[in-house]
Amino acid sequence: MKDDLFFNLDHGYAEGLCRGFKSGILKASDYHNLVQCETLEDLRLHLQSTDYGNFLANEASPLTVNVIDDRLREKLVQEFQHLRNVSYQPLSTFLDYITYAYMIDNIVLLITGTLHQRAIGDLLPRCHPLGSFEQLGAITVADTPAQLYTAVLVDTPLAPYFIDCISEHDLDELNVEIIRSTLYKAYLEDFYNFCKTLGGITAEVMCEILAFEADRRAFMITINSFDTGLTQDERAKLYPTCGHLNPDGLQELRRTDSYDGVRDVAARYPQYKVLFEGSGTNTGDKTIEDKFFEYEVKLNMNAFLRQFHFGIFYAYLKLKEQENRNIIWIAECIAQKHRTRIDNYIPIF
Amino acid sequence: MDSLCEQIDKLTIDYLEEFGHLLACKQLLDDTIKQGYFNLSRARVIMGVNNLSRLQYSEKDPMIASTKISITLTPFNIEKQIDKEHYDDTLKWFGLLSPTILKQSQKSFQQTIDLALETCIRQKKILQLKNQIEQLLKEKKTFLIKENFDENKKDN
Repeated sequence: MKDDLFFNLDHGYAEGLCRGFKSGILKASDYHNLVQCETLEDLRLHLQSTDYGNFLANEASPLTVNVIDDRLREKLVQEFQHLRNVSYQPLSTFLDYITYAYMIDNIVLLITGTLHQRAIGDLLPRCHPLGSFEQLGAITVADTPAQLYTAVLVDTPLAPYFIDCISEHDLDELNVEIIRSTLYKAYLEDFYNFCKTLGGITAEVMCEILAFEADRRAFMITINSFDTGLTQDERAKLYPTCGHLNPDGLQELRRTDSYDGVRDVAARYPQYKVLFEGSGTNTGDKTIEDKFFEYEVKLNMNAFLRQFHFGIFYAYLKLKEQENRNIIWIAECIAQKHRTRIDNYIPIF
Repeated sequence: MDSLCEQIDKLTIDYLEEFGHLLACKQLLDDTIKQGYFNLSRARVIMGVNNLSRLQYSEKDPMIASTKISITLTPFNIEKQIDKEHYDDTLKWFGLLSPTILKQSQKSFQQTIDLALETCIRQKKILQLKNQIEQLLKEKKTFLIKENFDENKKDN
């Protein structure tokens, strides 16, 4: 009851804004129009009649997919930052938590870019704006994870996540991947606990979504690690523990060595069994990543069915990201003139 | 004369068959390259456009070819050498845990090398067959001219 009575005092405006933004998400008819475009210029024209408006108006032709991706991201960042600016506690902490994931992505982008001798001027503009923090530019001076921590991350919100990663080994591909996954695992578990302490409907909605995210990470890390140098034990340390798979499923995943093994583990959980059954590794099938995206969209849409909770802000961001992925996919198919799988986008409404 | 005609017929049939195989080979090459690029775009959408871009590889280090092909013209021979040391490096540039579809894309592009070599070999074979047929046709022509000449001489 407390949720219903007092929520709107502090968060009613933000929730109203968010629901307004949500109604601008592209519908099936919009996607139908986009799929029929022959060139990227047509795509630009069709997007003008949606909520996107003239966001591509100032771009010189010829349009490229990279430019579309940048503008889409800019628009989303503007909306999110506006929501962040009008929010009060604890919503502002919640929204800050969401940005930590992008900070982790930016750190990894900068480290790999530096490893491959890219100039910092090339890399900084490609970082995700939601994940920028003051010390971001200083990452390029670090050679080992220990230096990375003491020089850069110790003053950022990510400092507590980094404790498991500090080592004196050089930063190479294996370690960068381990750093990424360890940071993300710590972040996800922290976010999950934060949502639990918020309690009420927020906890119900967010914990469901974050548990799925944790399970998805565990599955994807396992599947993608076959035939790489990652051992089973190293892999097991990267699994987030806040999902439904903890602890039995994670134990089983640790021991699997093939895609079919992963499928067998998933078969024990009814919601994941369905996803694995509908997918395959042949060229014509939907991949398991697609099925996971679909399930995520379903969970995020369900978040909007309840009122007076923070989950809608997270759900809105994720739905917009999926929409951006859809638009980029359609744009790539148009640009490559390979329209057979152009319908592989995931419809949201 | 009959054996000459039979030979020409047989070679012509071989030529047409090989031509059919060559067209199929080229079509397969085309499809494999398209599939490779397609899977690459799919991987880009899954991983994020910035995670699969030129930021992940170095333009300053010189790139070493992992597969070298040497062609000798006489006798015609194509050899393929794989540099085992640097073979799998490229996929690691984009993150150790890259999606399966990226690995499939890499396989497609690796297959295109073999398909391109096969197309070369078939094309060379077709040119050889063409030369042989032309040779035999010339022989047949001189044979027919000689026959005609003899017949005219006999009539006269």
